[in-house]
Amino acid sequence: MNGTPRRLNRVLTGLVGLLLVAGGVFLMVVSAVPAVAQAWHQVATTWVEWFHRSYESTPLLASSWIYLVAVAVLLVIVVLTVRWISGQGQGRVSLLVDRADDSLTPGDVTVSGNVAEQMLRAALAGRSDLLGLSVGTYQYRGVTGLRVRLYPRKGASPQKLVREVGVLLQGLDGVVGQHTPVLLHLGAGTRALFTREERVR
Amino acid sequence: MSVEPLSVDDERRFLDEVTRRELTPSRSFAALLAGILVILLCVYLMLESVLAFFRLPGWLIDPDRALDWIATLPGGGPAPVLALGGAVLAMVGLFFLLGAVFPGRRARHSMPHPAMAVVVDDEVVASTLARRARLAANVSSAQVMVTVAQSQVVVNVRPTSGLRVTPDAVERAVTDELGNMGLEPRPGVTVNIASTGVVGA
Repeated sequence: MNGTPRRLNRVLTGLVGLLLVAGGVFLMVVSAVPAVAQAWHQVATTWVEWFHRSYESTPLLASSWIYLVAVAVLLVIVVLTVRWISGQGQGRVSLLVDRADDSLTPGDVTVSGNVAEQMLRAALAGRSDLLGLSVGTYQYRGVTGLRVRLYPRKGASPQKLVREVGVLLQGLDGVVGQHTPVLLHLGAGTRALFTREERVR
Repeated sequence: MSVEPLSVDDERRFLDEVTRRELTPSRSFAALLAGILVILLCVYLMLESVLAFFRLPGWLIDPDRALDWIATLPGGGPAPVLALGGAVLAMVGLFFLLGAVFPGRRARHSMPHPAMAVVVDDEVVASTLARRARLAANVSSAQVMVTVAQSQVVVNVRPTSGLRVTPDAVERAVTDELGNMGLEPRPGVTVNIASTGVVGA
């Protein structure tokens, strides 16, 4: 439920991969096939000459401002890349209800996501088929939702857990006073590996 | 930020989208690696550009000589080493490229629910099915191994020596449990009974 930019990840990692593959294949071919190396030399010589000409024609302080342009372009690339990377896994918020319908009362009413977590923890505390849970509040596409992770004991019945937690979450809607979309994830945490199987149902 | 309650249709669409995202990989790890790679390369090129601008000697190689090296490529070093480097580069590129191109999936199934988005790790499903299969075959939990793939559930049972296990009963129990879960997509069931038994189980 987080805001990881999935499509951007695919496009940009694919682009980086494509460039690396192209560079690698070029290195292999140019060092293995003399004819290709010959052709490359001819092309590259004109490119190097072009670079030297443009270097001469852009003088600045006994050097060339081509380098400054290069630094600026690289800096932009770095900034954009940092923004891309920092967008991974974002979308966690702390408030479940940011502004309720509070026209009757002065001030603002907010409900923290911890309310949902504490409620669920208390309601599920005595269950033998559950090893643990975590609750996160996320905002995805402008919608605030709950991500509830349950870690059932080995052998526990998922459909029973889903049914009963579903009822609890309906109760939560009543308590909070606002309907919240829920993602329920039954996960196999590492704890499930080391604990005994659920025996009684 | 005030969030209007979603209409029923909109919420269903939202939950379906969230489910789809939970079932496919986010590629955030590949994105992180690719981003670090790009940033390191850009920072290095910036360093060399600044050094070249102030006509200082390059740190590793100055841009002029780097261009000449690239333009005369197989001449820059022993060809086998260059080819090998190219191969390594292409492999790294393929890792990114294939990860981005293939749709990919996580080891999870969705469980349709009228009011929530529900996903279950395949390990959780497997442990539940293993429990049912164990009860149906009347063996200990160490004698049952269940693997769950996207469209296939394989149940391996090693019977206790001297006691017969009927594959039909195991298959019926596992199919029944799967039917109760209502996973999507619904996997098929294969039951293998080992020809050798376990002594003293």
